[in-house]
This record gives sequence, C-alpha cells and structure tokens, in this order.
Amino acid sequence: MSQHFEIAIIGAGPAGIAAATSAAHHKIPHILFEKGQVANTIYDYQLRKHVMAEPSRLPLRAHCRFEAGSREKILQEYSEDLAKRGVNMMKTEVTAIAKRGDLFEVTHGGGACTAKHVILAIGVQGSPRKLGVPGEDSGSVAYTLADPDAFNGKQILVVGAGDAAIENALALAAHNTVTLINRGAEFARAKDANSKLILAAVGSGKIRCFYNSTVAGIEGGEAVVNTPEGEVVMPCDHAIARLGCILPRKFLEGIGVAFPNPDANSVPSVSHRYESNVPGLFILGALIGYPLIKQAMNQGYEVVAHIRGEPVEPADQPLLEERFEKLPGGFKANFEKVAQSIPLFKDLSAPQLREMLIDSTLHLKSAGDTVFEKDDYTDTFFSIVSGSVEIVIDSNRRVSLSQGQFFGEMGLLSGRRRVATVVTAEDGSILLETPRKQVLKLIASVPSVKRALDELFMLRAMQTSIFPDAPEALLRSLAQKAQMKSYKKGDVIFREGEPGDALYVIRKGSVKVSRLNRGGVDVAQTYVPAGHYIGEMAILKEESVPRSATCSAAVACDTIVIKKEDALALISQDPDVRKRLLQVADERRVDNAMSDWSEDSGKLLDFMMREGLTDAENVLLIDSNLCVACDNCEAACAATHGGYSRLDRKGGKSFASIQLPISCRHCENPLCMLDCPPDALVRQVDGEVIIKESCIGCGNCVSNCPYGVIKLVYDRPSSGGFLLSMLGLAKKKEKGPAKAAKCDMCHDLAGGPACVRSCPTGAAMRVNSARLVQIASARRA
Amino acid sequence: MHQDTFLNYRRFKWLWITAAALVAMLVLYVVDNPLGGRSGGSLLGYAYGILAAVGIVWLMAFGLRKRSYHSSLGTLEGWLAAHVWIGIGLLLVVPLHAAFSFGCNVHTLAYVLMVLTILTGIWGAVNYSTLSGRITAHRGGAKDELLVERVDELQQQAGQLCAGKSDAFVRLYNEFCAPFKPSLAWMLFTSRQPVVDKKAAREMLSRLEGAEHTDAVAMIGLLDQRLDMLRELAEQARIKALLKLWLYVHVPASFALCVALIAHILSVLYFR
Repeated sequence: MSQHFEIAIIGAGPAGIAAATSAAHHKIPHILFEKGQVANTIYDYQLRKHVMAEPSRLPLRAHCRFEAGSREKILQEYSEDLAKRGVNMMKTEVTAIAKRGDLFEVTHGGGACTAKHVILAIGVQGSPRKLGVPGEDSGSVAYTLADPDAFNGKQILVVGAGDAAIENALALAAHNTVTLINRGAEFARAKDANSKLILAAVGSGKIRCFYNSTVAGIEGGEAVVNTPEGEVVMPCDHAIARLGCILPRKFLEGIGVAFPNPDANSVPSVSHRYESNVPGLFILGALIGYPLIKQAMNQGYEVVAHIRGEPVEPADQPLLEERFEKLPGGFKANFEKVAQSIPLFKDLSAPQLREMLIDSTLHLKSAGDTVFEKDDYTDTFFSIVSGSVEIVIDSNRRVSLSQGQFFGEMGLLSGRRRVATVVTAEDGSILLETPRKQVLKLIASVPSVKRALDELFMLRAMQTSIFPDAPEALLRSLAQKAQMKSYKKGDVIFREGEPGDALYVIRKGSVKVSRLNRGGVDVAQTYVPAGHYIGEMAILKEESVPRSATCSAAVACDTIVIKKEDALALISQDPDVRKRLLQVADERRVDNAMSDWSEDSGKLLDFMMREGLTDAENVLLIDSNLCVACDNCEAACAATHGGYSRLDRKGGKSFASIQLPISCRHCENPLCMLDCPPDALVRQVDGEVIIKESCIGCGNCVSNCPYGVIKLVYDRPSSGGFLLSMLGLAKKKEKGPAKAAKCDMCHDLAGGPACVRSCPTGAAMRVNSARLVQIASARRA
Repeated sequence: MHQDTFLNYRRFKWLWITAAALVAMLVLYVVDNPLGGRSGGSLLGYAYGILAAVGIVWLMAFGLRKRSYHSSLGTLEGWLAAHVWIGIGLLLVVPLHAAFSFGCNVHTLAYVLMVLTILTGIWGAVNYSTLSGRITAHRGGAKDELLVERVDELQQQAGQLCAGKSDAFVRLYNEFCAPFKPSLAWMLFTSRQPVVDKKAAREMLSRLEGAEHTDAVAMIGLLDQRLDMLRELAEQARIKALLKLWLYVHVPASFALCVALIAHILSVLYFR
C-alpha cells in the first residue's frame, strides 16, 4: 500500500519550500518532491549573484527565511530551514499526477503515493525558450549562465530584456565585450533596480544595446542581427539567450488543468487561493505568471493556511483594499464586480488581476465629468467597471461606451495626444484607470490582452481616420482581416508608380512622403504622423491605380495593412464612405498636381526629419535673419532657471536661415521618459515634458535623449540679486545634489517661455511639428 | 520665415501710435495762443515738457525691462518696437516743448544729448535690421574658432612649399602673406577687403619655371583660400562689433542726458 499524505508538494523552489516548511511547522503530513537541486532556479544563477527581494513593499509571511542577499546565502538558509522544520523531502521526479475520487495519485521515481492536496510549484525554468533561428542549438549558444567568470575577453551576445538577460549581460561585461539584443524599446519586464543598472551600463558605453532588434542567425563566430537601422553582422564567440521558458502545458493538461485559451503563453486560471479547476490542486509561482521569489513564498504560506482552514489574507491585501476605499461599499462590495465586469481582463490569473488593480486607480464619476480632454498628453488606460461614458468626436457625433468596454488605448500605444474628449454619461460610473507600464506588462504576458488591444486599436484607427460612419460590425471583420506590419527607419513602404494594393494606417512612428519633381528628383513632400493613413488613392477604384508618391518610414514604424479587396468590399457596402474617400483623394490629387516642390524645400523637410523635428511638440527655432547674437535668450533662460541656461544658442544645427539651438523639443515620443526610476520625468497635459523635484540625478534621461538637451547640474547658489551681492548682503545657499535639467517651457511663468519673450528682435520662436511643415511648404519655389 | 520684426512689430503699431500723437501735439501747438507767446513756460509747453521727461524715464526703463526675465508684461520685442518709435518721436516733442528756441545753455545741452542718444539708437536699429542676417555662424557656416585654425593650417602648408625654393618663390609667398592688420576704423566702417596686387603676383609667377612654377600655383591656391578666410573673419568681426558698438555710445549718452535733464528741470524751477 502506498503512503498517504495530507499535502504533496511538487517542486522545492521558493513556493514549494515555503509550503513545505509551513506544513512541517503545523505538523501536517506532507511530502516535498524535487527532481534536481533545492531551489534549482536560484542554484542555476551565476555564482555570487545578488538576489533581490522584490517587490520591496510586500512583507514576507513564510515560515522560512528570505531576504535580499547572495545566491549562496539564500541557498544555505533554505537548506537550513528545511532541515530545522523537519520537512519530509524526496529527491525524485514526479512523472504523473491523477485524481481518483477525492485523492490524488502521485507517481514518482521511487514509486507512488496518495495525497489529499497537491501543490504544484515546479516553475518554468525546466524548458527554456529557444532562439528559433539557424544556429540555435550550436555549441556557442547557451540558455543558462552559471559562471560568468568562465568567459574572458570574448565577444558575447546576450539576447533578451528580462532580469536574467540583464544580470548575465552586466556580469559578463566585466571581462568581455557584451552586446545586448532587446526585442522591444524598453526594459518593461525587468525589475526597476535591474533596468536602472542596465540603462546606466548602456549609457556609459559598457554594454552595447540594440533595441527593437532580433537575432537572425548565429553561425561561424558571427551573429546577424536585425535592427531598425538594418541588418548588422557582428563577431560572436558566445551567445546567451534568456528568452524565458515554455510552460509545461501538456503535463498540466494531463492532470486536468484547464487553460483560458490556446495561446502558448497563457497561464492556467486559478482562484484567489491559487486553486485550479481541479479541486485540491493548487498551482503557485511562475506557473501562474508569478516569477518573483517573495510572492511565490507568500503563496506557499497562504495555500497551507487555506488547507488548514485558517482564514488568511494575501500579503498584499491592505494595498488592494486601499484602492477601493473611495467606492461605496469598499472592497467587499466591489472587488468581484471589478474582476468580472471587464472582459479584457478575464484571462488574467487572480494574482495578475490583483497586481494590476494595486497599480491602478478606481474613479467614481458623476454624469458630465470629464475623464480626459482631447489633445491631453496623458497615457493611462481606462476600463468601465460600471456606468457609461461618451467619446466626443465632434459637436454632432458622440460614441457611447458602457460597462466592460475600455478606452484610452490610442494614446497608450502610439504615444500621441488624446484624440478625443471623454465625458462620463451616468452618475455613479466607476472607471478603472491603469498606468501605461502595467498595461504594457499585461500586453507582454497575457496574449488575449495583446490581441484584444491590437484589434481594438485597428478598429478605432479605422473609425477615426478612414471610416467614421461605417457600422462597427463591418469594421470588426475588416480589423480581423487586417495585418500588422513593421518597418525600419528608411524602409520603403511603397514606391511612386507601383500599382497600389493596400491601405496603411500608421500605428506608431511617422512616414515620409516623397515624389519626383518636374526635374525628376525625388523630393520630400511631407510627413504623415501616427494615427493617419497613407495609400488610399490607389485602392479606391477596382482597376489598378499607380501610387502617386513614395512612402518610407521616417522612424521605425508599425502599420496596419488593409488589403485593397477588403477595403473595396467595405466601401461597396457603404456609398457614403466611398464618396467621401474619393473626395479626399481628389483633394490630395489636386494638391499634388499643383505643387512642384523645389529641392530646397524638400531638403528643409529632410533636415527636419533628420533632426527629429517631425517628432517635436514644441521646438525653439531662431530665425538667423533676425538674430543679432545678443544672447539675451540664454541670459533669460539662466535667470529663470537657477543660473543655468537650458539652451545653447550657438551649439545646434542650422539649415538655411533656420537655426536650431540645443534645447528640449518636447518630443511626442520622449525617449528621456523611457526609464526614470523615480518617475520624475512627466508629460504635462499640454505636452511639455518636465523634470520634477523627485529627480535622483541618475543620468538615465541624459543618455537616453538623442538630442543632448538634458544636463546634470547643481543648483547654483542664489546670489539674491545684483544689488544685494554688490553690498555683500547676498545669502549663501547650500549646494544641492546634481539633478537633471532641461527646458521646462517656463511652465510656472505666467508669460510663457522666457527665451522667446526676451528676444528683442523676434528671432526666437517656438513651433510644433505641424507648424514646421507649414514653414517648409511656405518655402516652395 | 518670420513676419514680425521689432521695427514692423504688429504692423508698425507703435509707429502709428507715435505718429498720431505727434500730429495731435502739432495741431494743439499751432492752435495754442498763450499769453506771452509760445514758450517752454506756457501751459502747453509745461505739459509737453512733462510728457517728454516721462517719455525719457520710460525709455530708460527699457534697460530694466530687458533684464526682467520673469516679467510677463508684453514681450521684449514689443517693448523694443515701442522704445524705437516713441524714442524717435521725442525728436519732435522736445522742440514743441521749447517752442523751437535753442541757445548755448544747459537746456539745449539736454536736447543735444537726447539727439545724440536717439541718433545712436537709430544707428543701432539700422544695424540690427541690416546686419543680423549676415552673421554666417548662424547659417551653418564654420564657427570663428575653426576658421582661425584653418587659416593657420593653410599658411603652414604654403610655408612648407617654400623649403628649398628660390628667392623669387619666397617673395611670391611674402606677397600673399603680407600682414593684414586693419585699423579699428577700417574694421568698422569699410567693407573693402585687402587685395593682393595681382599684376605683381603674375609677374613673379612668370619668372618661375618647372617644378617651382607648379608648386607656386598650388601655393597661390592655398594662400588665396587663406585670404578669403581672413576677409571672412574680418567681416564677421566687423558685423559683430557693429551690433554692439552703438550701445557703448547710446547708453552713456542716455545717462548723460539724464543728468542734463535733472539740471534743466532744477534750473527751470529755481529760476522761474
């Protein structure tokens, strides 16, 4: 007869250890299975790695120790605690788990046993995700890194943007030349401390990093990398790929665990007590999307308490309840409502949902309250828990959204201003506002969220830019047929003269439109920003129509491609749409026919794109025909900003009579904001990007800004004015810490930017990208 | 690219305001027929005198406004426009105040100083509007420091060609490298540039033969480039100096005017 236990715990990782020590502490008959080492994932960490204890605000409740420290110290404490508590551990592999009646049959390397409860805490490190390119299994590619000191003076490629990749890259960079390949533009998935360290290393040139890049192949000591600027071939002695792991889905499904959807990345749904759809089977840690050690340990503790029938609050409960304070009835009355009212979040596991809610804000709104205004520069994401809102497209048209729907995704994904004002339509409406970083994290980890947002973005993009009156059902079917396509900077999307076969909606980035002028020279005409469409002229008629201009990516672009036949099918069902589109196309044709841009104006536009001015929300320009070099602008800037001028009049580039001082242009997609640990860089509602007092002077923004407009400065001690200092009465101020400083548009001055107001000749001006294009077009020959 | 300058600011708003005020004052002056004839001491004369004095104080306050970087009281461009046109208007207000009587006294001294201030101001305004577009550093041209370096480089390259060459060759070098030391007045008031005596240079070149001749042509090319740069440097220095120089007269003259104005007011009040 096989042995029987109250609890069988599979996997001696942090969650398993916490569960086992709790069970042992309460003298519950238990067994802990481990096929490899205790805390195998930590064991596989590089030697002497410093292990963090994130999230720092979360207390640890388990019956065993864990705090930030070296890999060795943590492993030793785990072993000691397992022994001290008298945990019944068996070092063997569990090969099958099956439920028979009320009991689980656990088959393992040493036989079999039965258990009333099974806690599955096997993690995901067992099967790393491969590169999926030629050379992925060659000897020079590894998916773990135990001892970084084993490498010296090598060319090493680290692939990935998570904590493992960052830590490996940092450790290897001490004695090797390290290149990091990040598929995205940020280190959104990494712990804050790690993302700060890696940005500092990249900023100082210690590690080279390619963003928005992928590995195309690794062979013969060379790696081919696809970057937004094109293909790069680099020497590569070794490659370390840290791309996360594949969930052991088959094993879980074998036990009867259900998954919310067929996506390979989806995680099993569990209750708030981590119980799966199989009663008595609990799943913890990384398997349910919880990779952090402390969280996993708390889960182990909570599950055992739950099995013992002892009421236990999750460790983050107070944080969560705080979010509900403002709502009538508080947490109890509203938590379930929030959890169930928003279909977008239905695939989130209970812990993912809790984390999302802890980072979000719940608003109780009255009818007529404005949620946000058109052209605001906020980037949060809203879901409607109850009630309804209206999107104000113009004075005549309003779109109503109700419970379970969401909005604000356009600003979230494209980084642009809000495209419409949203007002609350019903008293007592409850809205959930989620920060951008949290939504990006969900997009990255919950496939259904990504898909839903992609489809919705396409739908809204089509609604606002091309087919405002088409029925939503038609647009939905069009969105499902549409494809996403990305372009690197400089890639040609289509060429003048080619037959047109598709329409492109620009989701991110901007596109340069150029045409051959009468002299046969390809001249930049204009640029089209995100949220608009290109290529509509050629697809409106059944017959083949050649493209009237060449479109290429001015910066890296994401586009939505709508095939000609799909668009025509929609248009044929709606004669009004067709009529309006033809009208717009004809207007553009007349414009094209009448304009023959000189090469000069094209060059001016090229200059603007090269200098990133098409991304500028507010840029300082100086008309050198008027500037008398008096430098009063710099004096004004210094006088209004603690003695340091944030603009360098002479330092910048110039084109014809336009001079571009080195000064913040308040980009639409501000790279400086990408990684600010204290979130001190914020975009104001009017678009200006400012640095708050909470700046810690880390310098991330200084290295992230491509235009060199941010400097670290000390507050210059105020003299108290010229007269006082002449009389020796000036007060001396203590020198503060160095902080990042840049143009803040004099947002606290009633009159506006001091530089422009102090220019005696009117040479200094501030313009946005739209006005810049006007300037360029006003210079047609 | 730009529409508004400090002169045509808001479609010459301040020129029109000043002109209208002057016309009104002129009409009043003609219509006015005070006892004892028109003079600075008549009621209208006093009124115009006070107006002029207030105007002068306000014009001088421009120096303060220019440095009030936190001010939200109009733009500096607008202030400068008003400063220029109202300042020019004073040229007529003061004679109207004095009923066109001038003499060799402290009163006329104040007027003379005011005219000096205003004329230098006009000179500055003309410089501002004619010279600003000629600062090449603004137009993507090389910065002065780079030009100076390049001038030295060119001279060294040309100098190296002289090694082992004949006296005629070196004389040709010297012809091109004659020291260029413009006087201050030359710098400021003439845009003529130093030229090499082409005829002499041609003659010298024709006396050289073979390899020396080839090298000499190359050397002339280098030295001619150097001269172009020197001329450019001198021109830029001239422009920058002119954009500032007028202020060195304008500001002290305005303070002197202030002193004379106080003397004028006190003496008038005392000797009434």
